Amino acid sequence: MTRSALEVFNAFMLGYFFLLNAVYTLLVVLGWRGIKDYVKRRGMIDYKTIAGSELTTPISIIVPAYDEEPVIVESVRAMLRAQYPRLEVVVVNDGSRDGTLQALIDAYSLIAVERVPRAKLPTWPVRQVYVSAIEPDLLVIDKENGGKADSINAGLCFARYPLFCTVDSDTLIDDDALVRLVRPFQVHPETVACGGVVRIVNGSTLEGAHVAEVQTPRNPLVNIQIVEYLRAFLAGRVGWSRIGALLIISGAFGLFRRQTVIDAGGYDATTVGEDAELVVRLHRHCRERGEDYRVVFVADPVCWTEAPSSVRVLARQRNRWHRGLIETLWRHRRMIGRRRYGAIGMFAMPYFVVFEALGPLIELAGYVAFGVAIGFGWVSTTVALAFIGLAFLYGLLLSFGALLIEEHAFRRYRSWRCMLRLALAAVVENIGYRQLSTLVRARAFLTMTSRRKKREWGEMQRRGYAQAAAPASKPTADEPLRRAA
Amino acid sequence: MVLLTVVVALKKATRNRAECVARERRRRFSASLASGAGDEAELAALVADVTSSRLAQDVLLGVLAHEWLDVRLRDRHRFQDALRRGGLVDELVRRLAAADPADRGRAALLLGHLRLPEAVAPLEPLLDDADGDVRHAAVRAVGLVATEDAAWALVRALQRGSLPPERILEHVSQRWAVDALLAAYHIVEFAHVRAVLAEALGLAGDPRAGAALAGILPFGSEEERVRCCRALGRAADPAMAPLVAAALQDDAWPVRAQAARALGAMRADDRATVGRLAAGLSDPAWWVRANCAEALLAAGSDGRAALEAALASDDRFARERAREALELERVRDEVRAA
Repeated sequence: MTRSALEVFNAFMLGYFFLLNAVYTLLVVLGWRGIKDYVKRRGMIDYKTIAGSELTTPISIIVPAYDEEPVIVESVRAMLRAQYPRLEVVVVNDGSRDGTLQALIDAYSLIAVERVPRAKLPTWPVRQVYVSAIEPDLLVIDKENGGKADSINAGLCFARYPLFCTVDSDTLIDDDALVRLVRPFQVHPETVACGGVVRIVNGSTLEGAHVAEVQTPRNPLVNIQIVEYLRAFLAGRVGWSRIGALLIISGAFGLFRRQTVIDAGGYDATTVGEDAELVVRLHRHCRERGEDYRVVFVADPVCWTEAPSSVRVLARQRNRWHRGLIETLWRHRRMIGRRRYGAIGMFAMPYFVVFEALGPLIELAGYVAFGVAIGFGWVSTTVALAFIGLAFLYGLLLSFGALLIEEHAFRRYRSWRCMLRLALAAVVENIGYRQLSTLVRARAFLTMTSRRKKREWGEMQRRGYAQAAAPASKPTADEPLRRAA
Repeated sequence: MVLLTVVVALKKATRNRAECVARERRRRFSASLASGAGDEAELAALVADVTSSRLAQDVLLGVLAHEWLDVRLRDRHRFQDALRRGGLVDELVRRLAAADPADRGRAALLLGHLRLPEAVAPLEPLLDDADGDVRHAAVRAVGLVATEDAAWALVRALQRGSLPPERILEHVSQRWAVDALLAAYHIVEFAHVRAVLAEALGLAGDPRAGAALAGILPFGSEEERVRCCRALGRAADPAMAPLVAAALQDDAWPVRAQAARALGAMRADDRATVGRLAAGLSDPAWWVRANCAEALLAAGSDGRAALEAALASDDRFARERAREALELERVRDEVRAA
């Protein structure tokens, strides 16, 4: 009885494995075709006009800030100097306990003003609005602590331009990133959201707030994450975007149509994964209203962020991401399998439920069942090794596929040493890292049920870059924990 | 794993080689452009390369985009003639009907960057292409040709609404298009895009635009009046100040707000205008009050005096706007002095 049940389960696992990898293959193929198409069209895209035209759609950059005193002044300065014709920077000081607000007041000659919000979204109280006497494009909002999503909503209420992006204060944006990110909105005015690529800056060299030379670090954990990001962005997101089923736009780097987000209710401050939840809600909002809309991903505009370099911090980050995914899927479960929601409801959401959200639990059960079957001799060693080898090989194929796409289209990692490090990371990822990731994400289910809900920013221990973006003091390993990426 | 690594390594090596080839191409094309295409052999090689390779087309586009204006007019004409003789122009025109949008777009951009007057007619249908990237490439290409025919092609595209008006404005709002813009402005068929034509005239910065804009401002639709004020603000011609100041009495607050902003750009400081701006500090609309305060600051000592007088106003909103504007100016003065 036990054996037959296990055999049935193992058969299910085999089917699950093949179906999952079939979907991965489809995504990589779609991603490859999307990138090929992008490379073909690249030569005819006129970024020069966008970058130089006063008619280019203006953007509000909303910067939620919590205890960012060492870096906030320089971060804001870098954003104000972004290469874009018309933009404003809206910094939202979310009840920081340190001198974040005072640092801004001193550096930018802020004065307190009365401002009527242009939109009404529920947020924790705004204490004061400031404008700068020397930077006309800077607005600072001081409010009571309410968390990141709440801060962005406050920023939305005071932002004045039709498009907005949210950028973490410690994220670096490529010089032409905003120009590239705005283009879909100008070519297709029905676009409501556009995501760009988030790349890992660890190991790279900075000049001021710009990435001067892209390199990989020595830390294998970070290199594994680089490969992971390449797979996720260059294959996964391009693929989903190509079939109109993009479910996630990175909170670190995305451009949105302000009015549509406000109409949809703004960011949800009660969820951990507010960025993913917003995109799903935008899909739902637009489809339920029968609006013509697009949510797209563009592979070229890039922002850079620091990846966790220790297992502990990485585990916390992935736990948080997985909780966010589960919450989002649960909140919008009525979209699953419903034709009314198009490719989102029929493909993307079922995929994310079965293979992403529940995937860790199924995989863990699979490891256990497989182990029991091998232990009792119900599966031959040869078959077991063949299956493990196949899974390993397929994982390698997907990772190397992503490296090929990167090399074909972008070539950010110029040196052979970087390529070899990433190739090695793609191998090592399958031995331990993937299994650890499964455990951490499975644990997210437990964390969800036991964790108290609080207005959290998460935690991230910053180790700093090769050259920091001119902070007052260089972050060290002993620095108090700060918010997550 | 070794095999996969070799595959990626081969890709890297191939791309490295492609970059070397691109650098060599750039050098050759640049030399051809500077010398007016050189001898027949060089010309034939260039035409063959560009015709057969998308990468070569991208390189030629890059060279033309960066270097065309640096080349002497005589050599530019020689280059154009050489390419006509060599058959490249005919080939590019033929490719405007290619099945692949990337080919259509590239051909359009090459014709545009070559500034070939005869290219406008075959380019115009691409302004309505099914592919958005091709439409945008076509509008840029036509804008680069910069002839009266090109201006009319863009004006007709405005009329048809085949692209967002701003995307056409970016290319048609130039001095070379003003005659066509002015003529279209008075044609009945273009009546529904008069506001956009007015804005184009303002962006073009041609002095003749003022008279056309002055005609719309009192009588046009709300959108037209807003665009007019914006255009007059960009032109920043102080002679237009009385006309724009009258728009501070407009029924629609967006028009009043734009008018105040335009007066700020003009630094209008005549007594009547300053008086109207001071009255605008009590406007019911926040943006009108804010823009009037900014315009008074830009008006110099008379404007500042009006703001200081407003500190004693019965109207709370006027007092608040005046206080904020003066406080900002005070801090700016302190920073400058420091």
